[in-house]
Amino acid sequence: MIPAAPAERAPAASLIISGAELTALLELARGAGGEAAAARSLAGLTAAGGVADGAPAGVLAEGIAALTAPVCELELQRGDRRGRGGIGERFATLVVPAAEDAGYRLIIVTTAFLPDVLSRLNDVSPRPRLAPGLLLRYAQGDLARILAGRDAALAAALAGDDDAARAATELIEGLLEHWRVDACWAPAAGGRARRAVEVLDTDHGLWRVVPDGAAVELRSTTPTQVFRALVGLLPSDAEVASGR
Amino acid sequence: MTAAPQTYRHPDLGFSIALPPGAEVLDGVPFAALVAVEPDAFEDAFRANLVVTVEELTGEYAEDPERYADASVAAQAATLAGFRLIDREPVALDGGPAIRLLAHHDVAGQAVTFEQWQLVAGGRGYTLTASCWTLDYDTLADAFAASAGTFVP
Repeated sequence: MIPAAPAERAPAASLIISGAELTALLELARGAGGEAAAARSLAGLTAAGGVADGAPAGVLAEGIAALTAPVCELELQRGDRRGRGGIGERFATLVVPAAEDAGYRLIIVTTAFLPDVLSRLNDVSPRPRLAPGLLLRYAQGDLARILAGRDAALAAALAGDDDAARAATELIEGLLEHWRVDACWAPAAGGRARRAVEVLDTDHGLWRVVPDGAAVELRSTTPTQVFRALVGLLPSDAEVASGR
Repeated sequence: MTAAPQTYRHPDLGFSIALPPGAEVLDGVPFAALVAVEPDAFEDAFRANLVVTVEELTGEYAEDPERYADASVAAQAATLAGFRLIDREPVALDGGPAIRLLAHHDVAGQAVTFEQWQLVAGGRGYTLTASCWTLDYDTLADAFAASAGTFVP
């Protein structure tokens, strides 16, 4: 289930764990006590070599450390599903709902593979092309109502001219998925910094969701531009208080 | 290795392309008509590079960049570790039809993103591949596209 210690920079591990196992791993890594209970929860991982001497071992230790002491935290939304993650010095870890049943998929990769993993999770792949430069603008509350109700009529009514109304109708009628990834970190100057990539995936093409004050803009985009944005989502070494 | 001119012209095949500033051309790389790499990379770091391959085409591939690209994608999916196609679109290169691809793969444990332009001209298939370490892609993408836009078969 857990591969041997990976080569430097290699993709590392992807495994299904229960909520109890995740909680136990995080508690062990934080030294929060309860080792005996944690050990019981982690019997399966211990047998597989992921836990040794009462602590996460090998790549699992690196992956859990990315969650407990992250340089950058990640929040993932895809429809009504939620995930989270952390980026450490060398590894990044994502915790997302497991497709199989209850529980989580724990994905540990070297940081450079994170854009690839995020693009896989959100199916960033060849799509039909919307006309470049299409722009729709809504009040934030209006967009929330439109998306919650998949209300194409409201989207068209609030879009503006006929061309915009047509684009808005196609967007909502062809909406496949709404997803978002947030990255949050402590910049060297103090406080918190945040970047996000938010996308509406439709059967006509991709739209980027971009806040603009009290409004939000929907801009036609491409898989290439979305992938670039996922690469650019991660803070550079110069942006964080400690290096990536 | 030789210092690259701003615009490279292949001495036998005749194609030309403007290279990114500072690019170094590697001589004698098998199966490649041109390999240009970024200078001054860290030791063991993946060096961003631009590679041009040229092949003689016959039959259905000689006229149709879409079919040429289909075959190329299938071959890359079968041979490159962790290959994943991110984007594909028809574009114009030197006024003719071409296909642009964006893909990701694993090169000996390193995350590598590449853009590729494929076109067919004069019975030859040309493939321009611009590759970089994935975390550099956002920085280099415009330079890759600028070079590709100058390609003349």
